[in-house]
Amino acid sequence: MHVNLLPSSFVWRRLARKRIRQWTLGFGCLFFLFVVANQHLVLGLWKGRCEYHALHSSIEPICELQNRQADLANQSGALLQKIKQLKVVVSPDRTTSFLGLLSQGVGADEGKIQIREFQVTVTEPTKQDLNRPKAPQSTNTEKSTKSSTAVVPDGRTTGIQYQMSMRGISTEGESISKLVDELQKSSVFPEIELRSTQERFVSERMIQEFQLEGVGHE
Amino acid sequence: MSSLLSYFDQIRHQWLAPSFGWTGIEIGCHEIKMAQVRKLGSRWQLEAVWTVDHPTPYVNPNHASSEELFGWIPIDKLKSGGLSPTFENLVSLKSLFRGRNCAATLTDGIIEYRELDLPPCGVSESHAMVCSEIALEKECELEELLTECWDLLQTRPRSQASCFATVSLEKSTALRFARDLMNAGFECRALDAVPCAMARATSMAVEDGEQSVLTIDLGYQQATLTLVKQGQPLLSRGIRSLGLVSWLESIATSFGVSMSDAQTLLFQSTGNHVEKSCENFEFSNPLQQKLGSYLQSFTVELDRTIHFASQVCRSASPTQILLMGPGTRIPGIDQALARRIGLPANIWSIDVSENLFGNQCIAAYAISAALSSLAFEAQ
Repeated sequence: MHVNLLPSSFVWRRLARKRIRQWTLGFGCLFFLFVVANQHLVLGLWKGRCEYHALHSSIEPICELQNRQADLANQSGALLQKIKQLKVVVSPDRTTSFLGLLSQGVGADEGKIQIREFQVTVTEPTKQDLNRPKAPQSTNTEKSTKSSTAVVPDGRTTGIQYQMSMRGISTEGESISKLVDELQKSSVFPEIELRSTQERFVSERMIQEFQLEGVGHE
Repeated sequence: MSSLLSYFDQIRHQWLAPSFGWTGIEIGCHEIKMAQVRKLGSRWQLEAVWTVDHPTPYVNPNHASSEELFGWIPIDKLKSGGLSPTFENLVSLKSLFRGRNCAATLTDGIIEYRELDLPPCGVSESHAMVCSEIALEKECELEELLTECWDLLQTRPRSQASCFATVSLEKSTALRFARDLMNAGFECRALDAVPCAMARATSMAVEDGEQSVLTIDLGYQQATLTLVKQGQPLLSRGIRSLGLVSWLESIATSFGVSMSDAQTLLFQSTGNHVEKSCENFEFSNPLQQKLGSYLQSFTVELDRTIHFASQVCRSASPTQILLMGPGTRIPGIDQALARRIGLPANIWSIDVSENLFGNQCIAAYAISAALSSLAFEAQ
C-alpha cells in the first residue's frame, strides 16, 4: 500500500504537461510525415519538370525544322500562286496553235480527212499532287518529259495538263497516218496517240473512223 | 484523441510493461538516498543507488574540527530551502537512473505520523475527521495541510473505536519538493510516507507475507519501528533518541573525536563491537562499552513496542526483526539484537545488479528501493 501526499493541483498540472507532451509528440510526428510526403511530391514534380525540360530541349531542333518546313510550304504555295498568275499572262494558247496545225494537216490532204469532234481539257494540279514525290522514271521518259514540260527553278513542273481528244473520218488510211505524223512533229502535244480506227461503209463507200488522243504538260 | 492515447497506454501497460521501477528518492536531513529497482519475475534486483550529501550541512559546534564533514540540515531549513542546495547534484545524477518518473518520501519526521482513535464510520468520514483533527491540532487551515490516513486494523475493545494511522505534511513543503524534483529532471509521481515505504520494503525482502515483521529503519535523526503484516503497516513509532546521531555524538563526546571519526569507528568493517558486547557483557574497550549501553536502551524500546504490538494486534505479534537504513552498517547489530530480543533479526537484502560495484550497504537504500517499486504498484 502507499499514500500520495502530492497536492492535487500539482498532480493535475503534471497530467496536463504529460498530455501536452503526448499531443506535441503526436502532432510532431504528423508534421514530420507531412513534410516528408510533401518533400516526396515536390521532388517528383521537380524531377518531372527536369525531364520535361530535357525532352523539350532534345526535340527543339525537330520543332525548328517543322516550323521551317511550314514556312517553306507557305513560301512554296505563294510562289506557285505567283507562277499560276504569271502563266495566265505569259503562256501561249496551245489550243489555237493546235487548231492551226490541224487545219494545215487536214487542208493538205484535200478533204480526205474530216474532223467531227475536237475537245481539249485543261487540268490544274492539287496541292497533294504537288507535294507528292515523283516516281523515278527512265532516262528516255525523263528526256521526253524535260523536253515537253516546263520546269520551275526548284525542279518541279507547274503541273498543268492539257488533254486533247479528237474524232474524225477519213477516206484513206494513209491520210490518218500523215496527220498523226504532222501533229507529232509539232511540240504542242508531244504525246499523240492513235487510239482506234474502224472501217465502215457509208453510201457504198468505205471510210475509216479514227480517234486521236494527245497529252501535253506545262 | 484522448481515447486513442488511453488505448495506447493500455497497450503499453499490457505488452510493454517496464521491468524498471521509478527512481526512489528518500530525502532526509542528513543525506538524500536514491535507488532504482528492477522486477525480474517475482524477484527484485537493485539496479542503481546513489547518495547525495547536503552541500552546506549544519555542523554541531561542540564537535567541529578543522576537517569536519559530518553534519545535517535542520528540519526547518530543509523544509524552507527544499532541494535547491543540491539541485546541481540531482541534475547530474539524472543520467544514472532510467526514466523521468520518481517517487519520494521525506524522512526524519518531516512527514508527521500519528495514530488517532476514531468512532466507527465510513472511510470518507474518517478521512474528513482526521483532516480536521490534525488541522485543529496544528492550528492551520485545512487547505494548507495534506493528510492521508489508513485503518490500522487495531481493536479497542472497550471504546469500540477504530485506530487510524495518519500522515500529514504542509502543502507548501510538498509543492516545494515536488517542483524542485521536477526542475532537476524528475517527474514526481508520488510522495509516500515512511511507514508505507517500510512495509513495501519488508514485502520485497520477506517472501512470506503472513509473517508479522518488526521493521526497524535505523536513520541518522531517528529510528523508525514499523510492524508489518501482509504488506500493511499496522503500527509505527519514531524514536529520536535512537537515531544514529545520538550514538555518534555520545561516542564523539566520550572519546574527544569528531563526528566523522566517530562514524568511522562505528562503521568500521573490521570490528564486531556490538556482538561481542552482547555476548559477554564484558567490554574489551570503551567503544564497545558505549555501544553496549546504547544497545540496552534500544532493546528496552524494542521490548516496549513488541509488548504494545502484542496487546493491540494480537494476531500480528512480530515473529522476526528486519533492519534497514544507514545504521545497518554497524557490524553485527543484527545478531546482537536477535540475541537480546529473542527473535530472528535480518538485515534487509535483495539481489544486486552486476552494474553496482563496490561494497555497498544496500540495506541503507531499502526505503528508496521500496519507493522505486511503487511503479509496479501504481500500475
